Amino acid sequence: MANIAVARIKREFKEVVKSEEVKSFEISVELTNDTYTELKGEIAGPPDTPYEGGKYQLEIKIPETYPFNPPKVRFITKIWHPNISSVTGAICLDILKDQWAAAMTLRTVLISLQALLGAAEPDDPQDAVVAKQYKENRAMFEKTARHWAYAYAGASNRDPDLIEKLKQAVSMGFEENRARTALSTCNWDVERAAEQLLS
Amino acid sequence: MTSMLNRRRTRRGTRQARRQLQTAEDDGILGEERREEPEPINLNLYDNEGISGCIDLTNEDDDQDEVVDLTVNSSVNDSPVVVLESQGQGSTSRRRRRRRPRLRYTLNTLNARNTEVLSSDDEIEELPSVSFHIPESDPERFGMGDAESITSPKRSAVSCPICMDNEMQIKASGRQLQSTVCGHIFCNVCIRCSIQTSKKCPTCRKKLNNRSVHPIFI
Repeated sequence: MANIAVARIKREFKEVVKSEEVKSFEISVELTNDTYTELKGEIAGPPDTPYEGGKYQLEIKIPETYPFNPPKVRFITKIWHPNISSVTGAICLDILKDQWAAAMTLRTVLISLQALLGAAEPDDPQDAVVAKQYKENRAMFEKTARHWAYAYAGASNRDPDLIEKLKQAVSMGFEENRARTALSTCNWDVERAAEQLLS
Repeated sequence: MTSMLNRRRTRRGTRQARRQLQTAEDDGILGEERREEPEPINLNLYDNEGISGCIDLTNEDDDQDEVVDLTVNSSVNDSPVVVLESQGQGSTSRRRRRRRPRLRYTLNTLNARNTEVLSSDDEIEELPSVSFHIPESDPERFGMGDAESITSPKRSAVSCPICMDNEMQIKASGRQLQSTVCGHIFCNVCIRCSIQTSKKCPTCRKKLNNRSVHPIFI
């Protein structure tokens, strides 16, 4: 990797570690290899959102041309959000694409992602199904997002109604994660979800 | 301040000089008399000795060019007073203007040298002392102020937001600080790379080309 990229990441790493956001457990970064090409980030679900109380892990890949090109970031933790793929964790955020600027850092990226969780852009979606639900049935979207935060991100807010429906689907012989995705996509209609899973 | 004071001083000097000249004109007397007898009243009394005295005055100030000029002119007419009056009519006003400062100077310096004469004019005695104090104290004060502002700790806070090197590190490695037209500062290497890849300011995303950057000296 280019010298400037390694030097930058080393310095940014120190910056993140010293930052206020780390002290308040909002963001964190750790190295996953010795060459500074891959890192693991973590952000806390912002308060007053369905993601509150959840911890979201991120995969951060540093390109050779960093910081002149953006880092490649993806959610490892599954999340229900219009701008994040519920399947792959791919993120649709302008600063990680054409609006990247070399003066941005890992810290600003993680803070931006945290802000994205609190301010979805359904008109510029990554996951069309989630965006559709967000726009057409906001209450259902929030319920689902909260359930996903509980199921995958360790949030404590559990919804007994949704858990019951999930149990029904699992009892039909479907795998839990697949059943959860299908139920979420079908606004938690068990029969429609079962049809979708069988098709 | 100093220049103003000096000017005021010289203006006062001129007035005095003119006064003295006028009395000299009227009576055909020169300053030499005064040195012997500081009081202006005496001038009138020593009419005859005054004429010879004028030569002495000029001789004493040989080391000063201004005075020599005057004496050269005066020697022709045998009296410094006539010098001013007898100059060519076409150039009189101009020459006078030029001469006056010289005269002033001569008289002032004369007065400064001879304390007896000084006592005849209180203003001149006071003013030089003031004018000397100010130029000495002022530059020192300003010098101190400048030194403090230069060594302020804020200076080291300038750094390139791309490589994150500070000003010292950038200069130590032979790079230089550069500013974009939008006012953001980077090291020359990073901003060049950045413009090559994105043609935008790395801080504010304003459109840039290679000519939108210039060195900056902080």
